[in-house]
Amino acid sequence: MAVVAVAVCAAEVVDTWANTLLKEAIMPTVLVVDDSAIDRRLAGGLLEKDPKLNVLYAQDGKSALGLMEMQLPDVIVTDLIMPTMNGRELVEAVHKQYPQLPVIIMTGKGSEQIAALALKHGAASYVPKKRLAQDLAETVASVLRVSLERLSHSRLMECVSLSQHVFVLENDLNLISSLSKFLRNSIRAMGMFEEAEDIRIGVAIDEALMNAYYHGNLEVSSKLREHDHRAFYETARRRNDESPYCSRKVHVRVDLSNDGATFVIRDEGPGFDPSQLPDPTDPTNLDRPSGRGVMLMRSFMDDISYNETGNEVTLIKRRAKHAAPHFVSEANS
Amino acid sequence: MTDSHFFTIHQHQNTMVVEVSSEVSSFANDEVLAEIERVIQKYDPQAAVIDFAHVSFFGSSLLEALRTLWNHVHATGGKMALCNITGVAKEVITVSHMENIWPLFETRDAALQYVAE
Repeated sequence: MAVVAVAVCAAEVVDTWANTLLKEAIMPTVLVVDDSAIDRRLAGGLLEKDPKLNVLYAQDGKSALGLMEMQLPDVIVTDLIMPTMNGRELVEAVHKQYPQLPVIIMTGKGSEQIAALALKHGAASYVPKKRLAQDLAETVASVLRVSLERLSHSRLMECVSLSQHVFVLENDLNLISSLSKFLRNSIRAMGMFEEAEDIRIGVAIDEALMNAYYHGNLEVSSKLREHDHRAFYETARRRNDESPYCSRKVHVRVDLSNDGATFVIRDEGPGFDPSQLPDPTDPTNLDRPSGRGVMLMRSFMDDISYNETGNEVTLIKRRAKHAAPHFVSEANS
Repeated sequence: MTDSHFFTIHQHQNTMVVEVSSEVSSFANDEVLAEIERVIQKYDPQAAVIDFAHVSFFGSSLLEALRTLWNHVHATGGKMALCNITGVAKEVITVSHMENIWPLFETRDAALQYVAE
């Protein structure tokens, strides 16, 4: 069960964003990258037939990245086999520097494996070179459409000023893993923190959820893992079907706001005394598995505390005071 | 070279190089442990270098798998080192002080040189 309440910022801000989007949508820019002048002109010519598209050209990945420092396109169409920086390397570089920018690859005969790798590394789509005339314009239009929808969703999420969620989950690792992904995506979408901070929070949440699952609800002790980690997981699997463990739930309350993020994670186990955890940074404990999850939670969050029973942990990450809420900066832009 | 779900294994003379090939979810605890155990059984490594070039973060599940590998390597009198580790992945190692037993190196070559000494 999930209860979700979301408040968004003023409609005029959304209007500003919509206008920007509309302007972008009127004349999107496509960057065509190919070392062969003939192929470059062929692909570009097909796209220039659409008067609503602005087409730019580069002869390899390196030139494309240089051009993008001056003018960022809305979509890139690139060959795979090129000197200096090939298409796969370009996909990786773009994915790293401009994660929202889609790249379409043009594949020639024999480049299927590289194309598969490029798709794995973040390419949005591909068009076989022999089918450029039939498929390129449609693929670019389709990728642009998805990209604009994603951009609009992303900007809308940046307008959220308060988001609250309450989950009551069965003690099911797949459900818990899905919740973790949902929370990571929510934090990232709201643009509350820098990317590295998002990752740290994600690691801390995962550790807290894992503790609730294994040590809380299933009551499997870390000490068992010290001696025999197989027995640890076998015990967990067995207890998943045994009473009272199998009927226990994980309760998660989340508050995301301009002040920061608070996560309250509670299991239905008997609880524990966190002060009894061994210090995993003590040199004599370095090769022991106990306590690392809590240590990561303490290191990556601003504050963590347990209730008296020890079956509920509260993790808090505060937003830096100087960080203006995104919805204000968007309104002023 | 051997590919598996989480790791890509290379042999470099007597050293096993383990490339962590994808982000290791905290929820893959027993899978990642089972995989490292298969690797240990297959290669019986006397020294190991773990290359993090392809991952930006991980949690205690991978730490646990690395500890299992280290226990094996250490028992043979060998060394283990980490390389190409940056960002939050590096923080996970340093906040847990594991760099005291698994030194960090900027490059794979430097790590290989250390474990071979």
